[in-house]
Amino acid sequence: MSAPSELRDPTDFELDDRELTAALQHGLMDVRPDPAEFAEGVRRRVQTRRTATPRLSPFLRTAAAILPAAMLPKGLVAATPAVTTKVGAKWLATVALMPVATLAAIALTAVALARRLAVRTVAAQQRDDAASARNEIRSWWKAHRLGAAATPIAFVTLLWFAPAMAVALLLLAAALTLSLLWQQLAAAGLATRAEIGTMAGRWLETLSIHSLMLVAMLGAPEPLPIHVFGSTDQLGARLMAPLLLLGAILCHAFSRSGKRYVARHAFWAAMIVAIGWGPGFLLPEKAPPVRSPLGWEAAATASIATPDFAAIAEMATSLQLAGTPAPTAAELAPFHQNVDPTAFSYAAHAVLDLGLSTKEQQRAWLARFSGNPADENRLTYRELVTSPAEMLRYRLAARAELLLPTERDRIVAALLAAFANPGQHDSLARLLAAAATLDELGADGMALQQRAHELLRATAADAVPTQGVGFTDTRRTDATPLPADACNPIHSARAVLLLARFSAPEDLDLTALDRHLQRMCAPRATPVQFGNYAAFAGLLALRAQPGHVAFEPTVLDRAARGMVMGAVVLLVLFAIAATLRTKPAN
Amino acid sequence: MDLDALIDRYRGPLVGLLASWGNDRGRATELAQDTFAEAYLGRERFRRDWGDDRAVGAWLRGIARNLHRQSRRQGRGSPSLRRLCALEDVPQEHLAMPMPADEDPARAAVRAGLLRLRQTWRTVLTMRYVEGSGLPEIAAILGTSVRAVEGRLHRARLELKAILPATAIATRPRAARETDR
Repeated sequence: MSAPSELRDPTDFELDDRELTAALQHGLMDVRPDPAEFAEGVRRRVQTRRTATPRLSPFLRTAAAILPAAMLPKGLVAATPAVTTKVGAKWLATVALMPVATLAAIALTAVALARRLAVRTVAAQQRDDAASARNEIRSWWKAHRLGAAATPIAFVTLLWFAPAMAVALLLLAAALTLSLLWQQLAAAGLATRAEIGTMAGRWLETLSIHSLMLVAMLGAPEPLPIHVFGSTDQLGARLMAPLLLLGAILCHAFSRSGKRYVARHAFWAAMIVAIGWGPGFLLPEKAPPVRSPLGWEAAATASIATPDFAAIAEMATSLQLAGTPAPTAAELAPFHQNVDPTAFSYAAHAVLDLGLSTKEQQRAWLARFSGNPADENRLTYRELVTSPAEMLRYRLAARAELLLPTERDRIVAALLAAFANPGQHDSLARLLAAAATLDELGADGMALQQRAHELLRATAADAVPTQGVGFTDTRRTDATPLPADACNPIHSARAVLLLARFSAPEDLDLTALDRHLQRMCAPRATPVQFGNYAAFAGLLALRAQPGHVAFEPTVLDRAARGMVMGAVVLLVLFAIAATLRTKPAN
Repeated sequence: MDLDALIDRYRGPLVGLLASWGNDRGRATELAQDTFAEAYLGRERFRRDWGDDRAVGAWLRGIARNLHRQSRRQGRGSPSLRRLCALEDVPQEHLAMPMPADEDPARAAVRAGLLRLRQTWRTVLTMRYVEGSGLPEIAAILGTSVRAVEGRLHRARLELKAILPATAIATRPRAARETDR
């Protein structure tokens, strides 16, 4: 406390009421600091802060307590020995920052090794301080090794049981937290630019390697059919890894850890891109023609398995319905030369549907059947009449004009009677074959419309509404809704053919089917599976139907689609900012 | 940047400002010292002209406000959270303003009167009369004009006088009145 001081530039009203002025000065005398002491206090603070370790934020202290010592910069380790012994606090922090610890532990193993080597070169005193602090942290990890081991296991378990998007968001949150940690380290001056740059660079590098797996795990953030065929969405997903690699190189470059290291890093980055993903990874693919799976199948298997020809033929039919160029007869010819009509009847049906067979081939196929197809005894057995091989036989006999009109009528009546009630082996494929057979026999295939609608309802799998409505080939055995993962893109595309043939039942949500097929178009593995192409062809056929309303992604869907890319850009910017904010070592 | 000149010019208004925010004398002084130290150590970040009083005042006010908030947060943080984060302990005396037993009644009355004023009036009075600081320095810290400060001061005095008992002025110790003269 000091004596009342002179009032600078007193105003008129202060001079007029000196008593009040004096009372105020007297009343606030307690608050008045001594000028000399005050200035000395400021100088003392300046001096102290120049020499002392910067005050750590709670976040940094918590991070120091839970992260392995080898992952921490020297400055932080030396500054935080006091926070390494409170077990309960650490457990809380470990739970809170579990993803950070897991991700960082995986990604920065290399950093740990490098840092251990680097520690040997610091000055003796620093080494002692750092070593003792590090030992404390290490002893804690040793004491809780079971928990430390259980954490990544729990995380991997989560990968299996939690929705993929939730896990991805958790990882992104962890990554953002880690970059925030670096920001604070940099701001607090506890790490050199070389340290931060190296850590950030290697972290981004590791993320880039894993990004492709992440994309594969997630499938597509937004299931658009064009996603498969090199749209901007896929371009965005494909740019993730190169963008992360670019960020890694920039972090190393800004850390000024040596041009040679940057050059080596760039070399490895190029190698990763070249070896891991091939030249096509950096360059967006042009939309491959839908016919390419045929070529792919042929190249991969030399001779395609005959049963798959039915699915290929269905895809070709879908493309025809959509008005898209379908495979030519010459392109399909190699796949059906050796079709065994009795073993692979659906494939033989497909050959007939597409008009690929010659009369000689048809006669050869028919010769493999014995007996009269219109035999009344045979026509009484429902399972025999509705079997694909038997229906193929009817078609071949009709084409060869071997059936009398009465025999035709008898077969048609038997077929209609057989399909009047649901059978044990009814399937979408069987019904399609039956419709084609009735057409071949000169009957109206639309007579099966009611059965087709009933079968479509029975094979729809829509237990997860957000995934749309898909189909299985065979009917469910009870009233329990089929889970969404029970359906198959090939079967769903087949259902579209059935819808095109018999029209859709009124209670079937075609927009939901549209959504499901969109989702099925997204590749979940490389190379793109045949099912993705089949779903795409089915989707084209569905959208070619008059009055069809395509599923439009919601605002949330679109936001989710951009979220991953936005997060990646954010990570790279954070890492670079953390590097640049750190002062270079003297 | 001349640290001594900066302190000499803005010490009074800054201590007054911090006191008007509810800090006791010791805390207000410490926070003001911290503010000057932070400003000096971070002077490279100040990219304006040191001769621009308003810019300097705004900068100091910003630092002081951040430190004040930080101090409040540390004071209010739950014990478990503080233990978890190993925050530095906040001295107990800073969490409450002790009233000396032998408090001068006139001084206590002025303080009580100030507490009854609205924040704007209390701030300008405290900044002015803690050290008798000049109006330009107060205006710089508050980010306003000298004329506005003068107006606030006038109105604040009128309001204080209206609520202050006459005895608070008349009963000041003789020594204090002699000193004034």
